Amino acid sequence: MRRVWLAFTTLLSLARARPWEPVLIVFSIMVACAGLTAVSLINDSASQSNQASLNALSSPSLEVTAKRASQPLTKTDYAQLRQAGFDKLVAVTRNRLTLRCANGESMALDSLALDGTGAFFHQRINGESVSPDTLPAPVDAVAAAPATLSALGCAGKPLNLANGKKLPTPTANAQLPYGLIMMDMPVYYSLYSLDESPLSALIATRPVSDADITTLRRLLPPHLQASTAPQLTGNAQMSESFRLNLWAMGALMAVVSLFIVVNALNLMYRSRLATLVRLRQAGLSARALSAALFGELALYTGIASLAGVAAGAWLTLSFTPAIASTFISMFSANYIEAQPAIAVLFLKAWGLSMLALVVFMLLPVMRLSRLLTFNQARGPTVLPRWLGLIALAVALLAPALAFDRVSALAIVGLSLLCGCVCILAWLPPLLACLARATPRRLPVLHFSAASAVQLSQRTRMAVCAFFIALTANIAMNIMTDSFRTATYDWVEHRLSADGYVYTSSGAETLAAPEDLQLTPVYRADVTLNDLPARARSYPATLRARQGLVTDTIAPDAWALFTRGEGTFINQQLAFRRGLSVGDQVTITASRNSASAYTVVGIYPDYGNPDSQVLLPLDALASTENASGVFSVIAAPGAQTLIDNWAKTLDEETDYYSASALLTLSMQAFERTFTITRALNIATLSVAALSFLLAIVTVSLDIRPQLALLRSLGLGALRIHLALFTQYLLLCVGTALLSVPAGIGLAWVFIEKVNRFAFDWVYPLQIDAGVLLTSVLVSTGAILLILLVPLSKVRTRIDLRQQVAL
Amino acid sequence: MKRLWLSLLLMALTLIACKEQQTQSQRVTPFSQLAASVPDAAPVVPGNPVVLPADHASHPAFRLEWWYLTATLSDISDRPYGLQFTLFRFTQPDATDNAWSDRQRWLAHVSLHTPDTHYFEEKVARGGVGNAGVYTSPFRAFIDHWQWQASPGTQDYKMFPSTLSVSATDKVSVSLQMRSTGPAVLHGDNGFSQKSADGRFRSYYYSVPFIDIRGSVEIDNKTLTVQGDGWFDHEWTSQLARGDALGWDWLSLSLDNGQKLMAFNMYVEGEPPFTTGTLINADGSSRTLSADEISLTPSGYEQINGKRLPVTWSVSIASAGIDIRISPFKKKQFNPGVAQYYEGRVEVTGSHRGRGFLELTGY
Repeated sequence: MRRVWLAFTTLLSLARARPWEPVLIVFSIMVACAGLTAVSLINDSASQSNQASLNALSSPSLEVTAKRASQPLTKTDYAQLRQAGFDKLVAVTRNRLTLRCANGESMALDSLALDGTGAFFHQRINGESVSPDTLPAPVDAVAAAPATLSALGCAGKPLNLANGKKLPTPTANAQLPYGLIMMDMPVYYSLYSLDESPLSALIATRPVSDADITTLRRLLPPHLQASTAPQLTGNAQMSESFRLNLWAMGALMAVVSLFIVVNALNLMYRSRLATLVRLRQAGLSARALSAALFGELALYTGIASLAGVAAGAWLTLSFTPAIASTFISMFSANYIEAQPAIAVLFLKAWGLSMLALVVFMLLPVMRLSRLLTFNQARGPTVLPRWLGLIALAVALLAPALAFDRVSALAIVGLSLLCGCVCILAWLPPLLACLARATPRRLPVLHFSAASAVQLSQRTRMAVCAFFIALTANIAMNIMTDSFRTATYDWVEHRLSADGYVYTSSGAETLAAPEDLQLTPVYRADVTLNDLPARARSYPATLRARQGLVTDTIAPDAWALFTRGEGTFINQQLAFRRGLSVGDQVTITASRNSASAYTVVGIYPDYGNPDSQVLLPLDALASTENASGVFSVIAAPGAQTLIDNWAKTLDEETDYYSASALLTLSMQAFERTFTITRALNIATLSVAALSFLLAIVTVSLDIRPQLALLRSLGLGALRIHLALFTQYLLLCVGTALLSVPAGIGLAWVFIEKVNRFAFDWVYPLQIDAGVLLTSVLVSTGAILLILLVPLSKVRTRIDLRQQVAL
Repeated sequence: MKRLWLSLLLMALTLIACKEQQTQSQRVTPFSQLAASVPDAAPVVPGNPVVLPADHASHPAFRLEWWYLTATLSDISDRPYGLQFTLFRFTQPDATDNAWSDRQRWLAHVSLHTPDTHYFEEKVARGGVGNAGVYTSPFRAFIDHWQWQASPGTQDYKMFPSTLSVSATDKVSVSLQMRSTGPAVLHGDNGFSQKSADGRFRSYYYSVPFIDIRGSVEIDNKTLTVQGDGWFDHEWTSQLARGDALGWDWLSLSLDNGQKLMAFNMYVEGEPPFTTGTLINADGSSRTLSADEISLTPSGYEQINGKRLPVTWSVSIASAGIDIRISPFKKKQFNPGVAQYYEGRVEVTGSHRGRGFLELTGY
């Protein structure tokens, strides 16, 4: 034990002498732990956001609203429905309030006033609760999430509204989503009258049976309507995909961090070699040395895990507003602020890190062991090219085995792994070809090309890290670009009218000049083959037909559709139910009898979580189904009529031109990929770090060669240039192999991951410009970073051949 | 030796007194949530008799009020059941009067005890919304779909005949038809009910102890026909909703000779328990019992939720030849609501037989 302790303290002394090596190890583990902590916390928040009780606020299973603003929902309606037995309905009033502290800045928040006493629910059988989770409804009070209160900067003080009225001091409630201020109804109605701000809805805060919904619809007065949330909304499904994607990104970051750590360990052990040899000569056993090395690693891991967990928790909490708004805009679901339990997270992070490092530490320790036993130095083993072929075959065939989200993501990992094997097998031969092609009359260039072959074998980890980062970068960029193109094309086609009108009055008709053709859009919840779906009306005009982009369509589709015998279904429905063109389906709208339809076409419906069918106007036309949306088409030459007419519309009605809608859609699109762009930068940074470490490790071994070159008269600048050229060739070779891998990975993301996560796909579009930009930017960034260590490589060597400590 | 015995006796008495004091100081007010005062709350004053049927209505000027129905029922197999429906009204001291609040808060309890199971549900509602309240034209006391409604054709203000429709959890629903078979009884001095020796604590209080009940109880989709007796209490006060009111032991009994008895011990801070009651004859005549005339002594206890509750009592009214014991028909008849208290059906043995309800608060 004493020997182990002595060895341990010796290693720590060596670490103090060359601190940046352990610092790099600690930093890499810290980055991995921070990433995993952030992912874990965000995913916990996303999971909590699926709580039914809280999602009842943003996505209630049942909502009663007024059909028209002119006849709003009243307190009497509420009281009567509760007396009729619908005590699961709770009155809410939604608004957007601009709030500020006394001298602070204003902040606009969504407000939700809730009948707190109405939300109270307390049942016991033999003293045991049979109530579901109750809402965090503040009674006589105001509450908001701690992050919201922090953003307001109003701790412990009342809030002022824009109209000069005051809200009581809000309390912090971690169960509430960011950006929402919740209050009891009397508090809200001390600020506004019911005429100024009528009730928004009655929401079901607990699950309601189908029988109760049917009874409710029967009892509702004519001015009210009940709508059920899509059963298959996949808010839970989508946030699960969000979590899976985050876990995948976190795992990717952890894997690349692991690469760095292993490289750093290699470097550290290589630089300590002389001292370790002396320790072995002094009689220290290999076991004791291994124990000391393990102890040193455990110490670094403990420090790094604690720092990483703290950093990850701080970053997550700091970025909660941005994450929350992304989550909310993507899923229309609540996002609950994370509550990090640092001790638990630390133990998890430290445990996982130790487990991973113990496994991966074997490689550098085995290498160290070989060096310590003075075996004849052997060059690294070159992977046979046939192994690369097998890896390629696996990578090409594996996607066919994907059957759900998890298997699809696993195949992504497998593909990257196979790609690494291909790189390690084919990069050296590729560079060897390049070396052979380089004319010998350019000796430095030839030396660089030949050295690049050796370098590719000595920097496998770094090469793999760069390959993974670049492939993922290319794949994400292609995927994003394809999605952008598909979305633009699809939205542009679907907005086949000149403009669209949205009215909250729920009117089925709207007055307009003769030269303007207004077509209402009807929506309804239906069942298709006894499973829930959303139905939407679609006109069969020539313009509308041209606007409906389809993946597959029957030859007589529009004839059947017009006759009321055919229906178009979206991709989501087709994938979920295994439907294809020509299949017979039964669609039942509420209160109507079932009708048989033939599936005449399948259309893309990007971003829609619901299964949807398109039906002719006649099938859905009714006051109950009026959505308040109208398409507007002007007669030829009457375009200016639309603008003049739009100015006459009342406050409840808005007009949007097709081009304005397209712009809004694409802006929303760009916002959803913020996190992806950040992740691209993060993985490239990690790859750059990996290369950096590799350079330092390798430079320890190639110094004799460089010294020889110097002695032959090559200047330091040309030597550095030669070194840079080696890495340039390495990066270019890796990039060349990354391009097809990236394209393949993009296809897997679209056709498998997206397909199983969201049940829709879009065409893969390969834009040369996007590809070239990805490769050039990524490679350029890496090379720029590599300039720093490369410029510091010493080309002179101590004649005593001693490695400096 | 004498001095030794005297000393021991003194010590014993001191210990007993300390224990009693300790016991009293361990009591809690059942009105902890109403501790803040309502300055404009109306006082309970003597010389202001309860007038029926007008006083069946709500008295929002007073701080606290309840309409309290208990029923001892049995089905056709003679299985006993204890049912309670209570509607409470509170005036909130710091509440605002606006479109969504009239400063009143309504709380209701439904409790059904079968020999094996206890079903309990609690509801809360805000006054001014319209889903809770007491109306009188015709009489209706309700919160959401829990409704006590006078039967069609009943005169305004009159409570009987009426129907009670309530539920408890999703497993129990109750539908009872009730009719009064005797007069209402005004407790104390024409309904002015003194609750403490110095008169600081008081309420307006009357009962309708003669109620015949028939109807059905559905439990787990199984419908049972039931019948039995009911007892209705209506009480309103501002002088009881105080932090130094430490609860009470209260009982209402129907004896087999047609007599009824209401009695209670009231506990207040700094005073010994105040005991009183009303003995009601079969013809509806009644007399108030002073502390000297009635003895209420606990004789058995149950440990419930860490509290030692006196659930068995000896009651004696020498002047009426009543010497009875009351004991619960089952264990753990405890209501675990926002306000927690014991409310259970009891059986009467001794000089008379019968049944009734026991309520314990402040433990």
